[in-house]
Amino acid sequence: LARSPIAREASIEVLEQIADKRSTIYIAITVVGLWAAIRRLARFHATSSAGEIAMVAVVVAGILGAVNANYDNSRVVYPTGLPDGETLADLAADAPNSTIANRWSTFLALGDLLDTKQLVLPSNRSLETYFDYMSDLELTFEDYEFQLSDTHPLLGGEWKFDRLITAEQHLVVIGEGDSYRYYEARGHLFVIAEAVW
Amino acid sequence: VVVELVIILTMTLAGWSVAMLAGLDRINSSATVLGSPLLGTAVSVLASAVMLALGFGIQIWLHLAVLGVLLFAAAVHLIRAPTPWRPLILLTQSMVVAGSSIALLSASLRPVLTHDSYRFIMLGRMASAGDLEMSEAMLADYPIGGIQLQFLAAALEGEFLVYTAPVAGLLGLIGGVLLILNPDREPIPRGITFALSVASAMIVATSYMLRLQLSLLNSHVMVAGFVTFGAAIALAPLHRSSRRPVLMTSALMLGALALSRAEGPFIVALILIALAASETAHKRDWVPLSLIVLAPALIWYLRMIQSGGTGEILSPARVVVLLVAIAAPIVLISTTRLAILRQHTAALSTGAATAVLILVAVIKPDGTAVSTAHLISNLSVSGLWGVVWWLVLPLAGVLAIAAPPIRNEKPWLIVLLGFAVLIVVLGAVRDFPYRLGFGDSGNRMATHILGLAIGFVIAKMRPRPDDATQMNSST
Repeated sequence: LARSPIAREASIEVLEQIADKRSTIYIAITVVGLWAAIRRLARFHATSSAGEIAMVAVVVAGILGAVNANYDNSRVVYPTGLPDGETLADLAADAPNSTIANRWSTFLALGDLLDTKQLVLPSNRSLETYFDYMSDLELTFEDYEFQLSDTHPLLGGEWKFDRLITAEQHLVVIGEGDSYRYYEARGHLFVIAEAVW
Repeated sequence: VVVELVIILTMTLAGWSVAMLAGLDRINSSATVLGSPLLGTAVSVLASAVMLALGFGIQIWLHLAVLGVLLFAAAVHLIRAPTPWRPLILLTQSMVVAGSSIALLSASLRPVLTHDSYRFIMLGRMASAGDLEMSEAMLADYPIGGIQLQFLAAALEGEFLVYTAPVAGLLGLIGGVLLILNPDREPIPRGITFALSVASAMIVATSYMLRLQLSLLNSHVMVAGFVTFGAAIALAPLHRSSRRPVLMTSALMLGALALSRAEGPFIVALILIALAASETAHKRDWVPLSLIVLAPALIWYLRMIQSGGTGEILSPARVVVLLVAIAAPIVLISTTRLAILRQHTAALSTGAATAVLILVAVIKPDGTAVSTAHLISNLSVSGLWGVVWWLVLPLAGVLAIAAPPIRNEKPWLIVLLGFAVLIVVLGAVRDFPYRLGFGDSGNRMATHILGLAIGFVIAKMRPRPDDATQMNSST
């Protein structure tokens, strides 16, 4: 294992992490914890109960941990602050992970825009679950040609909605109506109103 | 919050009914009060798994039917009881504790939703629409435990559930520790109780990883509760009067555990192996235990194989490995004399764990080294656990090696060390090894064993009867 370059790289990475300043504080806590254990082992609990010793250890651990908590919190990806009545769409839009912020947030926002409207999907697409359960659209399936050329006239209508799904791919809504149909063109996904077809 | 409250109180009612029928209230009222929400959740996981696997889909009316049957049976049981008011007080206490915990968390911690969280929500909504089938590929990555809660949220017109699983899990975890340490009304010293309370509050407050778990839409705290309560059957020094209640409740938790994480069956197998080494294991326990633990898991995973469900984690071939893992200890224990098992299980399992570690290190050296290094880094610093493992691991290590053995210690060591080996092995055999950061799956899996690790430290530090004698003689 020691000869493996990947293992060596990982070890260096780990040592750098452990050399982090937090470790100094945590080592102090370990010493207190071990002190509690050693007192227990030395049977000092005959005059001072093990519970009280354990309590001292955890209280000291808690205090020292609290000293360092701000540093930990400054490094977190998902903050755990006070709630503010966020909806699922709010949480998705605020997500620090771009995949969540793009994909889930976009399909939830599409649901808010189209509000249980009907969407015709080609039978062989796998996006059904997103449109159905995140956007809450009424889906029907048909066999039709959903790939459009980049200059197709259907793409000339007004773009009512244009949001990222992935770093390169957008979901676009064109036109308004009670029924929509799904197409793909220019690397984007299009949901086009019946009136525009 | 209203939907969260309705669901946690329903779970509490179901769990309390099970606790009454099993007789858990007669051996440990604290474990009954704290464990009822998680017991109800376990029943919900098992019922949902069987419904879905048998082709009914997850149905709200079947949930209500199960609750009705449990309540009816508990009511009949109560009418015959000499003091029927006492269990009703426990029910009230349990509902107050669970409800106020939901209110407290929902007022103090913002929901945290990761990529997995949205999958849970989507699967729950699919189930609510009646569209979730066993062939769904996502079910091979996210077993039913946790999804059924999102189903209930969607069925009750809620957006999602965040706090129900952590509250049920955390209360169940504490209840499980109390059950293991105090199965027969032996009083826990006030110092220990106080230390436990202070430790829980301060360490949870100062550890980002633990605080996160309380508002993260996932199943980790719930699974930690299942592990802790489920291990009671192997770890608690049971007397004859407490065996049946612990068996029933542990078996339900273990059954739900097998259906709540992809690696769940391995953890169940570990606890069953520990049971074989337990001083209190009894052959008569095996038939009901096996039926409750194995039957729903068999139905679920065999249907998964039949439907060909394949995800990023599970495939039909891997499901076979899971089923063998869970069935092997049951078959082994059923066919071997108890005295032989007690004598040799610890040595055999240590040998087997060492052999497996060596094997994976030889077959996948890079995966083993990288996963292990990253796991160590995550538990110490980069996983944002704060002081947790710096305190628990050295204490557990020193006490395990140097402190006088506690009664029934071998099963503790089998579960704790076995879990450590399991995390390393799962990281080694993955296509992508563990990575640095709190979101790594090995780092999150460490949550599942924390309750038992803390329980072990407390058990080792707790004064024993001979200590009390010594204390009296010294004064």
